[in-house]
Amino acid sequence: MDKLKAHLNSIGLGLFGLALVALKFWPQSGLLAALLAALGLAALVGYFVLHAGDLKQGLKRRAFLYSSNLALMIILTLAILTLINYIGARHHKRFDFTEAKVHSLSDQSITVAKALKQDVQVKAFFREGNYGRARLEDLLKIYAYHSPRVKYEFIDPDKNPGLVKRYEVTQDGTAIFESGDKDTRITETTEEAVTNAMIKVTRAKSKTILFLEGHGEKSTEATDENGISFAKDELAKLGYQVKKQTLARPEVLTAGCALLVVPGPQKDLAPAELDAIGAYLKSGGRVLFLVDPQVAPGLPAFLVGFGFRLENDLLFDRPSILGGDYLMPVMSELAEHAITRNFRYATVYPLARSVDIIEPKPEGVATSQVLGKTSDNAYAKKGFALKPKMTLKEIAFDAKADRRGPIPIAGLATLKPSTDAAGKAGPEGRLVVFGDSDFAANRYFDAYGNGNLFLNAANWLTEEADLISIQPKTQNPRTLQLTPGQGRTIFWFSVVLLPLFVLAFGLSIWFRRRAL
Amino acid sequence: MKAVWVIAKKELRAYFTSPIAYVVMTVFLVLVGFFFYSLMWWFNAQSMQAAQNPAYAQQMNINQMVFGPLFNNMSIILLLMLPLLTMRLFAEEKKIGTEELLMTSPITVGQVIAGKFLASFLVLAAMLALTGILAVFPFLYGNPELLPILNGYLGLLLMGGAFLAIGIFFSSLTENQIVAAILTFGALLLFWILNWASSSAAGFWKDVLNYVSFFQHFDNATQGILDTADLIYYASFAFFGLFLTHSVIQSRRWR
Repeated sequence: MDKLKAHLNSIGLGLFGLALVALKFWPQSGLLAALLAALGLAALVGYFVLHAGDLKQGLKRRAFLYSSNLALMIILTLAILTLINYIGARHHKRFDFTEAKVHSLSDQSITVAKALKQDVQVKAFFREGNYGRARLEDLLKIYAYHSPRVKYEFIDPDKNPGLVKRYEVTQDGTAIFESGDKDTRITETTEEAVTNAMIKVTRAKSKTILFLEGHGEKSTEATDENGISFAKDELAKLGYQVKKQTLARPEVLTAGCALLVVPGPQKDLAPAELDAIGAYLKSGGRVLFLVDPQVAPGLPAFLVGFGFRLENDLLFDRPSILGGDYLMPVMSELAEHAITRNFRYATVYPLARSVDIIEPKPEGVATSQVLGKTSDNAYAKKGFALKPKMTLKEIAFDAKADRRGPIPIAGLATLKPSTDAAGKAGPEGRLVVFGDSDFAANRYFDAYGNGNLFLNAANWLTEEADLISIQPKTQNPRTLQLTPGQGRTIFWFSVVLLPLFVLAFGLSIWFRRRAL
Repeated sequence: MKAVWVIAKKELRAYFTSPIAYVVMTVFLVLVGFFFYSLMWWFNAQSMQAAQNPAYAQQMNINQMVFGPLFNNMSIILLLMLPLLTMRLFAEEKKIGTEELLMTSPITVGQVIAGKFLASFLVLAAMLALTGILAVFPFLYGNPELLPILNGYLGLLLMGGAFLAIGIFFSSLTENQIVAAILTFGALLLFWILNWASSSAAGFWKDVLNYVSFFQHFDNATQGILDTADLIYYASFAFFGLFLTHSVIQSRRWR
């Protein structure tokens, strides 16, 4: 009985433990847990009642006073250290000792980070072992260092299919930036991409892209293969507002339109509409022209004024793509430009026409250049009329009449900005012209690099002064070229001689001491 | 301060007249040397391939590709080795009964702990300094950056200091050196891998686990980054280890 009395406290605690176990494994039978807990409580109360006298004495004992004092000290120290670390982690300084400052942001990015007024949450979908992950994590870590508003997390798409579905992630290495009700996504892990995504997602208003309609253009509503809804969806994912628009009221172009897409009109635009587009471009507007061959002859005439010559021709290319035919030229030579930077894909243009740059440039055009050309296997036939049935001979290359490749399929131009009364330059107008609209249609959007090139062009066109370009950091290559002899020297010295020397030194001392 | 140095000298003598310090150092050097050699060999092969492609060659960086991984490896070897340096410090005193002498001497408990910590810290510094000799080779045959390397060594020294303080604490708990070493090793490893658990946690606890783990703090050091938060972290760790030791030894007076 005395034994039971002495161990009543342990029994009480044990019963409490059992109650917890019961709650964990049989959560539905709360009664059992409650019963166990009540028994435990009773045992503990019993213990204290029975031992009241001992406890009173114990509390007065030196050891108890000391040990409770000590426990208090330890808890207090831990609390103070936690506080110091908490403050230290929030207000820390970071020094980058690498020569190229590879772990630091550019001044431009730091300005952007410090100016963030709302939280930006980054969800980065990276598979384990994705090469770009460390780079992006490094960038986001530095961003979070400069701004407490930046939060990020890395998500393994293989382990989180639900999130992948919800965010419609289709590519490993996609980072989604969310802020408020806006979001944008990047698949590059450069500082420039991250900074521009920050700018885009925190911008007060999202940009509007208008798709022209009313002249038989490809429709953003049509989800069939001739529609252009895929392009619209992808632009929406990038954070743009996409609408279709007639030009019945030309003022829609100036009111917050970031980009006008002219997706292959089959009928000519009215002169008033062309005037509206021209005025819009000159006032700093951005237009993406997708001009199909053999229809709407008014558009090429209009584009002459901006430095583009679109002949009435049709491009043929020896099928270099499996299953492709002669009417599907491939853009194989890309010019140097922001649009084509890091772009490695081929793109195909079914039923396309040539797009040449007029030199000298017309009045008002600041820069213009070809964006991409076919290979020299391609050729252009002027004034060629397509018929339902054609023989190979009819479409074969005719050295006398036809133009031999490489033939430019797309070009771009920037306009001189107009200056206001105060002499301040406005935004520069930009236009990109493709000699085809089918490449961006649903049927071909996902073929090869078509969609990417379309989105790159749209991104470049909608770019504003607030989006920035950051040169990738150049660091001196720090390589090593060892001769076999040097390799051997390193091996013998680091693995054998140095440790041996320390060991011999130690042993000699040890033996001498033992001999004493 | 003088009392601290007297204790430190006594402990240093004990280190270098017993085989422990030499064996620990030798094994440490063999392992580090081998890692260093393999990394250099691998990097050399990579450089050879990169030489054919200028864009790729630009990415080659001996600091990131040799010293970064080397520092990581060294930190793990330290985690295995340092418990052996600290296991003796208090456990032996207790076993052979010299603890009483220390307790009754005019030297305070704080000074004894500081002296013992200083001695083990100096041994650690010597170990690291010896591996520093290896860094001569990359400078002879290539063009590494000096500052990130020194920063890496600073990180190793600070982290090692925290390891030692924890080791001293466990040494004060027991009179068995092996037990002290194993407890230290277990505790260090736990703190090291704590951030693995963070991948399954979320929000506040994820941040806490990440912060408390050694891993994230040392990651900065290997990349040439010095962060004041890391300095505070290591200093707190070392201080708390030594504070606990102090508490344990004090408590013996009235237990």
